[in-house]
Amino acid sequence: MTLVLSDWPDAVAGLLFLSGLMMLASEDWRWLLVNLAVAYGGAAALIALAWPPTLAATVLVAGWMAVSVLGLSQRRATTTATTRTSAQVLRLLAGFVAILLAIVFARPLMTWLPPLNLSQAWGGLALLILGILQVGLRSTRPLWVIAGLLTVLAGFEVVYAALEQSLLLAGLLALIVVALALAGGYLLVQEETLAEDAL
Amino acid sequence: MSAPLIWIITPAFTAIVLLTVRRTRTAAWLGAGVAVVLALLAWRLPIDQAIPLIGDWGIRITPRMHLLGRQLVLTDAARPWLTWLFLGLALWVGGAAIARMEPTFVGLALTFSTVLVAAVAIRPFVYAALLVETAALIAVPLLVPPASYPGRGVLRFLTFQTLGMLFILFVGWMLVGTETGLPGSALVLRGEVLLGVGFALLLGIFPFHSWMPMLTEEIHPYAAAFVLLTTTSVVAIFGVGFLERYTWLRQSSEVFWGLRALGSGMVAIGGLLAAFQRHAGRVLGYAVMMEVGWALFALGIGAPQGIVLFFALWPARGVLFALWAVALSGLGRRQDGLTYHLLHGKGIEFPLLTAGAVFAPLGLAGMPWMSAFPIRMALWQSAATTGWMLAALVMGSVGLVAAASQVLGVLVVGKQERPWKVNEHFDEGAWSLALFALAVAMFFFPQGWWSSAQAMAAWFPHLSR
Repeated sequence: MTLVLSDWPDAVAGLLFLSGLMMLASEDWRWLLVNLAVAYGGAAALIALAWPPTLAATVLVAGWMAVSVLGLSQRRATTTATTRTSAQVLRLLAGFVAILLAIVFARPLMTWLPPLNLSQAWGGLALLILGILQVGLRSTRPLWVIAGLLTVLAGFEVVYAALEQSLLLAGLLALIVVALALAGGYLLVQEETLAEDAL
Repeated sequence: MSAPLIWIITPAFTAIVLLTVRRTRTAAWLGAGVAVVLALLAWRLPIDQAIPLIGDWGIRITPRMHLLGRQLVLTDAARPWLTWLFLGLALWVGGAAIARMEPTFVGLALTFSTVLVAAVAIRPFVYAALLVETAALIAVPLLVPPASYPGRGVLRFLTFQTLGMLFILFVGWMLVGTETGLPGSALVLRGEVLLGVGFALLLGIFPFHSWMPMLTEEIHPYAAAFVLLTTTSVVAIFGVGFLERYTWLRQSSEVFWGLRALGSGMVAIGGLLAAFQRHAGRVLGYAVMMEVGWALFALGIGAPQGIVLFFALWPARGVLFALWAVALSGLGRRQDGLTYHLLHGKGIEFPLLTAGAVFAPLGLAGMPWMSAFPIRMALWQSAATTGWMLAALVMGSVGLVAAASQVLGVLVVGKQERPWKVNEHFDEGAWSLALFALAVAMFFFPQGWWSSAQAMAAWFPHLSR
């Protein structure tokens, strides 16, 4: 039992990878946002290894606020895009390549940035790579692009938290996360309004 | 009273007020008026010196302002830059009504520019990356006003700005205390590479340039040109700050050679790609890419001439792009797009807008009689020592000339069923002619703005010495 408890950061890093992978594969915006919320929960837990829990909570609150904003902007969405199995399989494969990359680069990153521990390096890198993949593979869909960027930011914050413990920087990064979601929400509402007008 | 209060906080609050104005023309006049006043203040008011008012009474404008434990710093050396920046802003904001922009454009443009000024002024500089990202987020409603479709260009713009911010934040942490670090160390090498990638993403340096033509194709050309030009110009200043701050970066001949090589490459690629477009807006996007190339090349020339040329590019660029953007806005609004097949033969109906859409790119390519020519000439001369760089710069200019010729051909060649007639609105015609006259006047009197460029360069004493 003690062993399991002491290993929780690794479990959280694994959870981050799984949520990132689910986001990459998902076609339904609800699943996307649920997984994004899980990713921010996991990121905040890993950040709490380096920061005081109250400060790490800002990441969680900002992330969940961002998820709420994106969710609210989708409230009029009635349809989901048609799923192509081949595309999903391709994205899943790309996601598995991402985990390989994260595993390969986690230790070199630790030697380069000594304050990082393995769970933070692995979890942060996984989110960074999966987020970039999502932005690249779904560049035509605003919700997925914004969620991908938020995933990248979550991964970056996991790594950066171990290096920099500035209160102001944490606050500003949290603001950027919420502002990015607001910008994304604005774009989504614009898109939906025009689509409705066209009907 | 502090300088950041005058040139950052005041325009920011004014911008919020301007967002409530319902008519574009009113907002444009007010916004331009505020920008002109700020430019005049920057021109006349010394910073950190006693300014006598009445008798023994006087004021002193301090260069620093504390904000949340950090500092915004605008020294006396920044005044020439602030003067030109707010003059340029007045020009673009004033033209918003002529380009038939949304009323919110003025307030958002002022906010966007103010945040970028804050990015240049903030200390420690690492926070600048966050402010550049904030500016990019403010640019979203500016680029996609209500009832317009958000294209892929905006998403890609946001993506590259966000990723660029992360690189700069990381480099900022990594390089703390290495201002005088020895060149060649592993840390310095990593710093150079990461810094290069970060700025490549922020400035749209090849191969991360795709968002520029996408934006100018999908978005209103006036808004897109304003955002592209302001972002790339101010972020480039932020980059110059790195060169100024880090001795090892400033003393590396490879860095300067790399800047020249990258700059000439971007000019060549931008010009060549512009020549093969079928959309007038995309040509404008590639021209912005070329401008980034010219700026990088100028910086790569090194002290002291390079930094002066870098700043000397600004005034000519501001006027010519304003002329081009107004012309494309007018043509695009009437034809419901800027693809060449939509514009076919329309030059006969709108000769003044056609002139703007053709002469502006020709001027930016380095055509004599236009404002950019003296600086292009100086840059070509600087490139003459390295044959392939000169060839690349000339190739880029030839490409842009070809693109302008193609636009001219598209607009004026066709069935001449009707005689030439000026159908533009009075304000469009008058503004286009005024900008054209300004561009020509700047060619005849370059010493006026060359001395300003020298004054702007003095802001970076290590690079201008």
